[in-house]
Amino acid sequence: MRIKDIAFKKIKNGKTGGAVAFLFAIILSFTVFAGMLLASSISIGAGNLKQRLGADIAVVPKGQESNYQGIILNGEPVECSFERKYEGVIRSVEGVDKVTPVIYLASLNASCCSVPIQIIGYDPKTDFVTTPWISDEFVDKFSDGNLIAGNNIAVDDENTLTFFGRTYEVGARLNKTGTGMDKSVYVSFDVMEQLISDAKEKGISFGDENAGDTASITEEYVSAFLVSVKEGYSVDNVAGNIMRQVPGGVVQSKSLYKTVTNGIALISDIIKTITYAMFISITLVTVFLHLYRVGTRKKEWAIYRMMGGSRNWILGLIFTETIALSFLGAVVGIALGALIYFPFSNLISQQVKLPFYLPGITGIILTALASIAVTMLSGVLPGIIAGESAARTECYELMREGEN
Amino acid sequence: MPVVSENVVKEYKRRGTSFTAVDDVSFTVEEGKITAIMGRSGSGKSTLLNILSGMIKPERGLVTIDGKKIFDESVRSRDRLRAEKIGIVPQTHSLVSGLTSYENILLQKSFALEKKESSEDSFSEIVGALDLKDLLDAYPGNLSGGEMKRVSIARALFGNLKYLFADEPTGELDKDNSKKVMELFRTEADKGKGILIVTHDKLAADMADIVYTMENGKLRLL
Repeated sequence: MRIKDIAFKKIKNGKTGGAVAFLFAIILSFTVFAGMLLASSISIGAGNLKQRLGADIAVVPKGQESNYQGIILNGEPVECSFERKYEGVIRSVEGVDKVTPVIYLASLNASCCSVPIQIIGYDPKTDFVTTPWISDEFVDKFSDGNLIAGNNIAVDDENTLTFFGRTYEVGARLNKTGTGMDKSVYVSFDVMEQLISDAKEKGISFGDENAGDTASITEEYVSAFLVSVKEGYSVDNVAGNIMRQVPGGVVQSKSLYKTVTNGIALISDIIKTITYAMFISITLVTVFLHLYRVGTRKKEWAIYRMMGGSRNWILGLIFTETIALSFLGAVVGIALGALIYFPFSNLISQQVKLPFYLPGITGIILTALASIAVTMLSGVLPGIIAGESAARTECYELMREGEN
Repeated sequence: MPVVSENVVKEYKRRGTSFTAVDDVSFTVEEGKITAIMGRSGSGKSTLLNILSGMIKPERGLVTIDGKKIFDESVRSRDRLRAEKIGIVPQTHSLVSGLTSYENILLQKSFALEKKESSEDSFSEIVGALDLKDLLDAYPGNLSGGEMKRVSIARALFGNLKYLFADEPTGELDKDNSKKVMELFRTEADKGKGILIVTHDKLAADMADIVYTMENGKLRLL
């Protein structure tokens, strides 16, 4: 019989005395796996956000800057209006490449609406932000006048959504971004005018509260302007020039992205700290746990020595058992992590309030392998120390102690 | 070339005072013979057996196995010597938990670098003689003391090693099983194995070729 055969039989039959060490390996592996997945989910989400922002600058009504961030990052519903006449002003600012207006309208948490979400109106004539993100499978089917649903929006069986008492067909779906944009619905300005008119009947006003006719309200009011800057121009300078000519606030994509990366850095630091602390503390605790389990099996070591088993052989057996316990604990920890992390990923993404996008299968496998490696690494030192402790003891001492 | 002990002395300290467990013992475990040492508990028999197998180093004296002075060798060499030449049946229960009787019997052979021929026939012969066929799949926790003893005897014999040192091999066995064990020892001795038994059992000693008694560490030929 080889060392690994004996080690696995002992583990299979629960005769290693390593149950608590196994439990600690599960905890470590679970922490490392879930922590690394969370870090990579928000990191991928941030990368998607950077690509998805499309515009370099958002010009919003004064005081609405942080609300705009809420829409982009978390899909938090917001309403604001801005006179559309500034579109031409912004377009004329030096360095501005493209300008497109958007309208934000929040649906209600009431029977008139399928879901309480942010509805974003875009201008099909100038849009360069929303429509490029329509999933390939929907591009041909999409026609102007339909809704475009964010990736996380659930539709009913007829593929429709109801807002303010009127039902709309969902004509397209945006690719997943892991940002607040997944939780929004996009409509052209034509549809938005209808929505604003219906919303007014429910007591929600947009633009000029006294406006009687909303049929062409999008020609007068919008919520924000999204601006892209020509290559070679400083975004800061263009933003400054816009602020001088338009009575609104500006949000730069880079500052929005920086907010996100700061959040990611904070969470990553927390995850790293927890992982390091767990690794060190569990490694130290398992040293004692393995010393204890080795101590309870002195008679067994004596039997091996009596049969001619060398000190190195015993060290090898203890080390193999320790590493195998760590490996099995790692696998169970990963399974537990997967069982908790994947079904609850939406909930987790809501809690972290940052762009969140699950890694692909390759990323998940690599994360699992890294968790196994870290957990097994934490078993190396305890395995050597415990093995040395048993192997160092004299043969006859082992026999005498084993008899006690 | 047999196992030879010359003027071996082993002293212990017990509660501050030293006493001699093995006192100037000289004798030989010859190949093809059963040598028995009888004596009361604490007379030094087990200590002598552990010295001869290289597990306890004596204060004085010489132990040679096949001409090799074993205590001039390293610990690793003595381990290897046991693995290659000496099958040991200890006094206490010595089966490894978590392994079946069958796996425990195979264990001894795991340590020998030079794998000696042990055919299926010899396995069946030993297992049959010790009446272990129905116990091969059982784990130590499900065996009685006597059954465990028989499994550990089978393990010490299955390696086909040159010597067998057995500490109270019939200690927990009934008369029938004691007889079976001693008959098996006789068969093995007849094949050339050098067997040393340490025992209280008069019946076992009666089946030995050479019998010594031990008292207060002194060995005397009967």
